[in-house]
Amino acid sequence: MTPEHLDFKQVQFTGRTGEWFGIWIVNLLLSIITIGIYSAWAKVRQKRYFYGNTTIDGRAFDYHATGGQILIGRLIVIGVFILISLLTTLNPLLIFVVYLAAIFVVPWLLIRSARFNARNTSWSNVRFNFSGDYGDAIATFVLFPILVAVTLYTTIPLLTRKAHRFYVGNHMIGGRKFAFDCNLGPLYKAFGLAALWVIAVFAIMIAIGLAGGFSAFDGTRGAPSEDAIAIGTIGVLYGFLFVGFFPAVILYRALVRNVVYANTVLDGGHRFASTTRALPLLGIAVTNTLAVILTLGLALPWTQIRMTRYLADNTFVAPNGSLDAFVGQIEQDRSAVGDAFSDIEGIDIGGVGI
Amino acid sequence: MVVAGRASPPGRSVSVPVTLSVDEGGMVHLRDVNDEIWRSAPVDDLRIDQPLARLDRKVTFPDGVLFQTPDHVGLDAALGRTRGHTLHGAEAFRPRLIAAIAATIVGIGLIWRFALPVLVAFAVWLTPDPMLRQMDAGTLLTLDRLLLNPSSLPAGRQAEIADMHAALLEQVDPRDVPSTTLLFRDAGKQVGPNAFALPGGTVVVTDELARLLQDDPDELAGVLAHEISHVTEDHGLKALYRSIALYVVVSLMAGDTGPILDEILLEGNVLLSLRGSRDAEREADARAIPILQGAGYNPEGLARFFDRLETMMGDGGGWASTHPGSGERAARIRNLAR
Repeated sequence: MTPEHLDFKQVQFTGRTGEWFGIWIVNLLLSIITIGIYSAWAKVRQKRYFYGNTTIDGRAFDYHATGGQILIGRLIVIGVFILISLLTTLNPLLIFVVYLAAIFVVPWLLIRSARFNARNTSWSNVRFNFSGDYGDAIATFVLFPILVAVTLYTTIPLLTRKAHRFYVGNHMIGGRKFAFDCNLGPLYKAFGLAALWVIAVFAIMIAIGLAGGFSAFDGTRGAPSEDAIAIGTIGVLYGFLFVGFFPAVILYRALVRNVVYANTVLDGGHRFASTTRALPLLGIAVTNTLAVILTLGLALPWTQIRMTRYLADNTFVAPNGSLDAFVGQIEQDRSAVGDAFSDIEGIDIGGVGI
Repeated sequence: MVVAGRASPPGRSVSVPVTLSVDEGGMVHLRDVNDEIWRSAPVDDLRIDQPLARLDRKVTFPDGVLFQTPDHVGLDAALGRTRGHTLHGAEAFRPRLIAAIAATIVGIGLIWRFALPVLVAFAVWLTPDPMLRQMDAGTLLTLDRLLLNPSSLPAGRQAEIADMHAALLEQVDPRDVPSTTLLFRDAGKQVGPNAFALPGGTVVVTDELARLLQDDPDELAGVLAHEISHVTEDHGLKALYRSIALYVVVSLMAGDTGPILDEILLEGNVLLSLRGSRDAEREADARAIPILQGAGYNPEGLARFFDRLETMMGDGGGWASTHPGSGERAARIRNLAR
């Protein structure tokens, strides 16, 4: 699929655990001392560290937003959230008005978020940009999810493709557009594998449950109490969530990432490739989680470096011709409201946030 | 002092090798490979990025030309101590970071123990009483629609309990109870014998509870006093604000935690709020005792109620529960009432 004559260069990540740990712990300490205000500046330092240590052909990324912008965005979003939660406690029926408004406001916020991040990100001194159309955003984030729900989640690959067409296809660097399109085949293959995982876990859990159920009714202990059944049900639910569902999501995203990179072109014939594999990625996610829990959070910087390095090691860019020819202009984007909203809501717009 | 680096025209990916130097007049010059001056600007007009780890230092000239150099020492010698050096030094990976770790852990503990309650208390103080009453009305509307049915309790029995409720309310500061409404509802088998207080002070007693405690006024008074204490201590409102605050703090401070861990953080929040809820139950038990004694009831009634609960449903405490164990609560009340 990718032209043979292109020379794929691996993305380099030069972040070091010790170094990032120092920045991270100072970020956290200052955020605590300032009751959260510094967290806006902490975000900038985190982004600058990870972007600045990521290079393609020796040229680094950089992040240009200021802590002040991010703080103002966060204050506005938190203020609106508090207002909404107070109003809806006042009159619970207002929640329907909020939902209705959210359908129209959230896509707009997501465009703003992507634009803010793009305009404040540079590679080799050239800024990115993002110009998503509002109607297209409504289609991507409202209509397609409705379609997915109506078709009982069997059309998730359609949504995935639409979201990436919107997210990748509306990005630019130095006036050159990115383009993404792909067949549904590979996406459905990824979806099938993820679904298979969920079904397998489900089947295994039912098998274990049946075996356990029979031993519980062996007559000597009598029927299990209602409490035991309730606790068992919650346990099974969490078990399914953490063993079945979340790993399937990671699996799907790893495979989708490869498809998306392989089918993305930057104006001028620059190509991309990703070689993430589902099981290693899942292994990293699981061991990272365990490490963070066992160290009460102190291993978080190590896990972030580890994950970023794995993703960089598996990402390739094939420039078509000189990388010196990019020319861009700096477009100011001071309003970080959309960005703060996606920070607080934990939304990642492209769906490849791994 | 001459610093070697590369310079890029504004917004362009191309860069050329240059040197940066400062003359006696405080002018900063970029010179190309032929030693020709390419850009000049007074040092005060430059935008000098704050240093971060080993990353290339960046200096932007007024016209947007970007100078980058990996030579931190050289640049500092040329331009002097610029903004951000203290922070950069503090972040260096050295043994003294252990002090930062310790301070962070202490800080998290202090925030949890002091700052969060102060913040929550401030929010509670800001919340006007009419709004609280309106909140109660709204919540009741939802409950009536989903869970509760009109009461079938005889009017005489309702009046009896209302008198009891009024007598208990006389024992507390009226400013602490925005709404003194007492309501009766048939809650069906699912909820069963129960009573609950809404954040504004509205207390709901289920028919099942009124019937269950028909022959023991001390026991029913105990339950009512417990619910009134939830209101005077603002437990419902505090729980609401606490969960909002925690959610925001965790999502902003933890930053990018990666897959799986996000989910665990949210679940952890639920477990912590359950702990807060158990503390609130214990506090309401303790506050109920003077109210009961003041109104002429025996606090032993509340303890008896928990004995009854234990025989009916088992102990039911533990870390995943909203309420402490009934046995523990009965013992604690008897101990406090002595």
